[in-house]
Amino acid sequence: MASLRHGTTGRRVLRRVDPFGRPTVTLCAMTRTVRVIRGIGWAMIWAGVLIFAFLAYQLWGTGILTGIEQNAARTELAESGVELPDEPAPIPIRDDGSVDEEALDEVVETGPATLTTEPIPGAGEAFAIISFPSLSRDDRPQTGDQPADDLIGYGPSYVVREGEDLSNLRRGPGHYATTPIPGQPGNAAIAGHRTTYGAPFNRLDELRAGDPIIVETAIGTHVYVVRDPRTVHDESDMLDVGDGSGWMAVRSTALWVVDPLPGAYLTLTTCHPEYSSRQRLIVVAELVSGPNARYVSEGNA
Amino acid sequence: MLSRWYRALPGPPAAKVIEAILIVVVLLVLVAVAFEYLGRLLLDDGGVIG
Repeated sequence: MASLRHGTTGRRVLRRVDPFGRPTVTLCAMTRTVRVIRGIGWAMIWAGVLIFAFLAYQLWGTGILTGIEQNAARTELAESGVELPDEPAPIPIRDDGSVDEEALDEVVETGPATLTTEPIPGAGEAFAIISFPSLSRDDRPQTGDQPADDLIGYGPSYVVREGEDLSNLRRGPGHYATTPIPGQPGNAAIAGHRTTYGAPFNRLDELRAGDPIIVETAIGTHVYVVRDPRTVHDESDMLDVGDGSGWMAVRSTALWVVDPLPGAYLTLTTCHPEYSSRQRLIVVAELVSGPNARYVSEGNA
Repeated sequence: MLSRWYRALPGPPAAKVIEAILIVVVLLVLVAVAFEYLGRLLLDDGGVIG
């Protein structure tokens, strides 16, 4: 690189050469300050582009991937030959969208008194559909007796796969392999993303005590009702509790939330607060209707 | 800057094209891995307990 003076202006110029020693361009020399500012400017532009790309991929791109996987899983479930009951028990819904449990007792009493078991799905296998009728944005379930299958059409619903490893969670909610299958006695647990990969559990914090959660599996439709977590777990272990008492926040290492419980419960876990994986938001729901509801309510579990 | 970088690649023009494609693919993979890691670390790790 040779330093010369421009013939007309007298300013210093640089004669540049390529790696083979051939002259290429002649540029007016920049001062060191200008070069530094220009370098910082380009670095900030590229940092902005990378941050934008990162957020677009995480908040939008991953959702597209999960949407494709969820559609494939629904097809997989439909083609698996799982036959759901023709007429599942009706679910009495109150004006506020919650389940009328007093009216539900009569429904449960007419159910089978024996335990209906279900084969354990293989790792990564799609085996259930979970729906949240009370999270419907614009078409809330009508009040009165609603067939459980009809409620599934309301609110967000997702196909659940067996296993809580990251590869499964990229495809939708994942069932903790060490816990019972939903609908069975004990504490069935399901994890899901809150912010990325379709954010299936993004709105769990909107659930209130009394809201229904419906899980369809091969043996039938199971209706759970969200419980105030303080009635199930020790409040001193919680970091926070939701306004409608439909959820609690706990440490990300709080393994006790997936411990076995007497009766039949469903525990949903996701990240908390939103856009952070610092804590966990937990929803606890109790089985109130389905093939095993009477068996459980009679104290067999 | 990019054209200078491209011209600096060794080999004949056909080789430069393949080298450039390979470099871009490797960079994209590295960026994707970094995005995945940072996404889990900063935004959402799936909500699994433990």
